Amino acid sequence: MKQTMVLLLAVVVAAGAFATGRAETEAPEDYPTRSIELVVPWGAGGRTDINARMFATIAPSYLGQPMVVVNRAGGGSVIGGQYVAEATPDGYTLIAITPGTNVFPVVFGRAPYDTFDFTPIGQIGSSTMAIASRPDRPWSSVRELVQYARANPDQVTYACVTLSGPQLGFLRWAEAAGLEFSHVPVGNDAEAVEAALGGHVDIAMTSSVATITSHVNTGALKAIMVFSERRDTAVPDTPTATEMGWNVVASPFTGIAGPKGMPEEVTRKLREVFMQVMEDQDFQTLLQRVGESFDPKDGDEFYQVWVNDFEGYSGIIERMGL
Amino acid sequence: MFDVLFSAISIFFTLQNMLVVILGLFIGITIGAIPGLNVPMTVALLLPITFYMDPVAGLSLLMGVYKGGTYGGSISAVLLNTPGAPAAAVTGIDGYPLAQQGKAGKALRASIYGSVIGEFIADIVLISLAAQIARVALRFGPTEKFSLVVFALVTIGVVSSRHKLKGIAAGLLGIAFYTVGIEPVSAATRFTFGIFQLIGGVPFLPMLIGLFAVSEFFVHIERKSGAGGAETVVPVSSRREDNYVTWAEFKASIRTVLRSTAIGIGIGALPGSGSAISAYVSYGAAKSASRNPESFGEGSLEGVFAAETANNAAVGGALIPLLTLGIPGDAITAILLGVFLVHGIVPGPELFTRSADIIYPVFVGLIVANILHYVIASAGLRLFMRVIQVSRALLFPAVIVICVTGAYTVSSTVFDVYIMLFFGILGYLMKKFDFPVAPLLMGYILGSLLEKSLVQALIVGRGSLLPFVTRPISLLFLLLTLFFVVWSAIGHRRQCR
Repeated sequence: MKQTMVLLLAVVVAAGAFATGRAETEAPEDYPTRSIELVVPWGAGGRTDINARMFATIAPSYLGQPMVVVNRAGGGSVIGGQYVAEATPDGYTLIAITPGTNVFPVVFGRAPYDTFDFTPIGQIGSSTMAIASRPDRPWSSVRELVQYARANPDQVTYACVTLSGPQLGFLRWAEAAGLEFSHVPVGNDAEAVEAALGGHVDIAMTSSVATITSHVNTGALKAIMVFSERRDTAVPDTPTATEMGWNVVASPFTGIAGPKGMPEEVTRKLREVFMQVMEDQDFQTLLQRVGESFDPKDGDEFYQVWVNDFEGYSGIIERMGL
Repeated sequence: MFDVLFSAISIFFTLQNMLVVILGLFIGITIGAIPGLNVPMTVALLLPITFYMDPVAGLSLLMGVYKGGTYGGSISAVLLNTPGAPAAAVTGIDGYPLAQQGKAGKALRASIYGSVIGEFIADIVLISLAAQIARVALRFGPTEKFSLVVFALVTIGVVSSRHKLKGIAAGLLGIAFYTVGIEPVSAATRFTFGIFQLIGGVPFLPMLIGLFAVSEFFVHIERKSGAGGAETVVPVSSRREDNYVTWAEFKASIRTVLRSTAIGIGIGALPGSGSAISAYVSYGAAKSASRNPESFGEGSLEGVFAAETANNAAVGGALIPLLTLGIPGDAITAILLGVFLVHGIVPGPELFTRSADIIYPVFVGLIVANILHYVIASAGLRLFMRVIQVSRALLFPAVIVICVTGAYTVSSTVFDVYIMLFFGILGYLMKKFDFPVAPLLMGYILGSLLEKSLVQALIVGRGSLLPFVTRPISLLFLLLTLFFVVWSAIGHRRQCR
């Protein structure tokens, strides 16, 4: 037993050794002189991860230094978020950022950092959120859905992840339309689509239209409405919420950011490289294939997206008392 | 149909494709066999490489890793009692006792045969009946899934042979650990004790590594090592019949193999269930149907066949909803979905019409991978048998280093290493007091499905419990559950007499 304890201690010490970082000083105008860590605050293989890996594949040819993707998942992406928010702002630690990291946990008071504790480098894309139903439901357009839901309050079920981008977007629309729906919590977009396809729920609300496109093409599902600024080319016949008269635009972004307070030269260099990557033909091809709607925005525009999202979502949470 | 097949064969058979399948299997088996390293992460790391490969080669590589990794987990489960993958935890229940009897070679061969046969049949079913199975899988709504999970939970009691109550207690403890984190309905955090790293729940892989690998390390330290600790982990018999599966033994297990394949495909095809559950349920079914259930847990070859066949058949099963509906059921298929998309292939109902030129060659690749899997695994067997002939004083420190590294790299936080240690100590104490460890893992996995499906079923059914008995599939599983409980109670009483 004593031996066990000694070994235990040894393991703890060894583990602690991992935590020590390196400290170097260098002039910001030389940046970058070594490899850059791109943190993905989610597990490997998800949407954010794939986008980040694509970016990290193309960016080195413009940066002149390698970019290493590191998954720091856990705590609903807050662990990775905190890691970057508190990292030395030298440009060697960046994050693949989505509202799931710097907006939602912040408005729910669940993050040990603020939405604006990051330096925006640029937005890569934003996905089109969409609602879809099986064609055997008693509505085939959003107008009919509204009529039906008004006549049967709280009877129509919609599936999405609890308090995620899709649900908050859906609630913003439901509030604007003055309707009440019944929420069925699921673990991810795929489960929402599965439940709708099987007829177990009435509506699937997903964060990306890509998850329903092939089912819409074969007629297994009908895309009722999208929440993006403009119609999505994947479902060109489906109206946006804004064109139907509700002032709701909700499109989860994916982009790159660093910690707050990076030297100006470093930020400028990163934003410059970012736009070069966005113009890269290989990058665009890769991105389009995964169904990400390519929507590059420079650092300042990206900052504005954060401001809009933060205000929009804080508002709905306050009003709904969530 | 046949011209599609012939052209697919001619597309697949290039030197490059053959090499990537071999490479994928090799990587998968190795990673799977090393406790602490995991397959989902390996697949993710290989992902950027596939960006620049042609789609058939890229997919064949990752499918090879997926198949190899699922089998590879059983190697360390049998040899070291430390499953390299969650599904292999069940394989270890009988595999490790066999190894302790000097029959490691026999157990590993059974696991190769089971894996390859399960995989092969599952792939054939995938290729020929995917659309039909997917249609049935879609009928499993929240109500049906809840009843299925209840059924799976009951098998915990059946599987834990000698210590039914202790097994059930371990399962409940697993459910309790699942409840840590964000609760699915209102997204309120529970049982995190203010530790924000726990908001996302108890991290699964560090838990797995601690529970199975680190705990085994502690068990070995405790054993007084004579002669300077030079003895090996398990003895290896030199008798031929202890290192091979005889035809009679195989024949006796054929029914188990076929049943396990069916269970593996079926449960694998339900998104969110996965290979660990299928291995468990299949093991429970094999034990109930067996003529000598008392040998289960003591080194039953049938038990090894049941677990390994089912978890590899579940790989083919999991590809069914992925390919036909575009719905990934677990971490690995989620990454595979990304790979398909990166190559401009959209898994889903249009896959077979729009990307036939790619998907059929990939199918050919799956079948070829099965054959190569057998060859590579058999060749690797000799190598792995060498590993356990290393003195455990050298082997276990090496394993523990990999475990710490593995736990750390999952999300690059030291917190996960502490989680691993916590479960290492817990696992050690459980083993010391004769509590089976595998049910805890099952409780953790099933807990999430149980709560989610119950909540969903109640919301959709407006609070009514009736659908659980009025919906036929759900009723079927509840009746099966009842049957199992009564059956094992009768069996128990007979034993007592």
